[in-house]
Amino acid sequence: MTKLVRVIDMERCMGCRACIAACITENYYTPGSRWNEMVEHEVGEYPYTRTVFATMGCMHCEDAPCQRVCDAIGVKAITKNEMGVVLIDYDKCIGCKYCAAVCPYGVPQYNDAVNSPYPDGEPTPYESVPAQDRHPTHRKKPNVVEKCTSCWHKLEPAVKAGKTGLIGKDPRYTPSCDLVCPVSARLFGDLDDAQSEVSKYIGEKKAAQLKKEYGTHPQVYYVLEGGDY
Amino acid sequence: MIRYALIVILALGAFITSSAQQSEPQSSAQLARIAEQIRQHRIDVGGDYSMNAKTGRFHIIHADKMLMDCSNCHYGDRYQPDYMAVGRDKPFPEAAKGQYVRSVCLGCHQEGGLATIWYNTSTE
Repeated sequence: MTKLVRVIDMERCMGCRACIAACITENYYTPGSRWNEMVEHEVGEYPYTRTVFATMGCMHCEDAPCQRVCDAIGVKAITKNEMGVVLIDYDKCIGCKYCAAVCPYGVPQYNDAVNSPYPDGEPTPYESVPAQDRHPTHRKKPNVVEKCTSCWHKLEPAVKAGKTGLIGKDPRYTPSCDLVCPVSARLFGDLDDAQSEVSKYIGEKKAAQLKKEYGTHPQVYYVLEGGDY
Repeated sequence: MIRYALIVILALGAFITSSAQQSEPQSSAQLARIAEQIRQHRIDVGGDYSMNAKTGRFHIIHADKMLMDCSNCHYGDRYQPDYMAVGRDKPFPEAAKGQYVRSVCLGCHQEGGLATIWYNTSTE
């Protein structure tokens, strides 16, 4: 089995937001519905303070409440695929925002309009790509909910080609946010492979899942100050 | 005359009793009963799956039927300091009364709670 997970080292992250920029350019960003957000908070007391940064995308929970609620109301627009990636089908989504309400991490982003990032300028090259030429996860629509797909459009070819072993190693099959980090604060790979870099990192650094009280079993781990909680 | 006075007294008594019942917090058993009736479609909460405060099932269920006060979930006009998902530089949504506290959901929607289960038991 393959269990794709991400680890984000908050002890290393310096808040440069390269991962945010990578996500924006990779995933046909429309204003108001970022798939990857940087949050920061200050620790310590003046004048001895510093900022802690964390990037937040979808946690791709093993027991995803967004999927549960979507199934419960019969919409069934949210699925968790064979690689553990939680995806939203825009054609099925009714825009009820229930998934956004139940997600403990505030991940699903309701997109009420597909606006241009530069409304006063020419459409950017990526905006000009017709919907039918895009991956289904990039066929943006108004009044539906969107979220991080772990760059499924990059992982899917690896799965189809039987190259799942290259996910997280080959840049073609690795989420863009994880590729661009200049301080190697992000890793992506197979947790079920005990020899994978991501497995070792989680074990050695005692990386933790966030908000464990919700019992969602997120597939994104964070290296927190002071270790697991 | 006495009969009219009696009717007025009885009506007043009934009104006071019903007002007192409404203002009293519902017991868990009562809430569980209401929740079950909603699930069995014996209480009509409409067919609008949305967050619309007037017609959406979400607010009808939580505010109208379960009698949750707005302040149970909406806590103010700014993000909490530990708000971990949306950038704090993002403008506060004007349409919302306040960002809701998701931990409130755990009270009923976790395993063993009276509402439909969205969350497993804690893995802490």
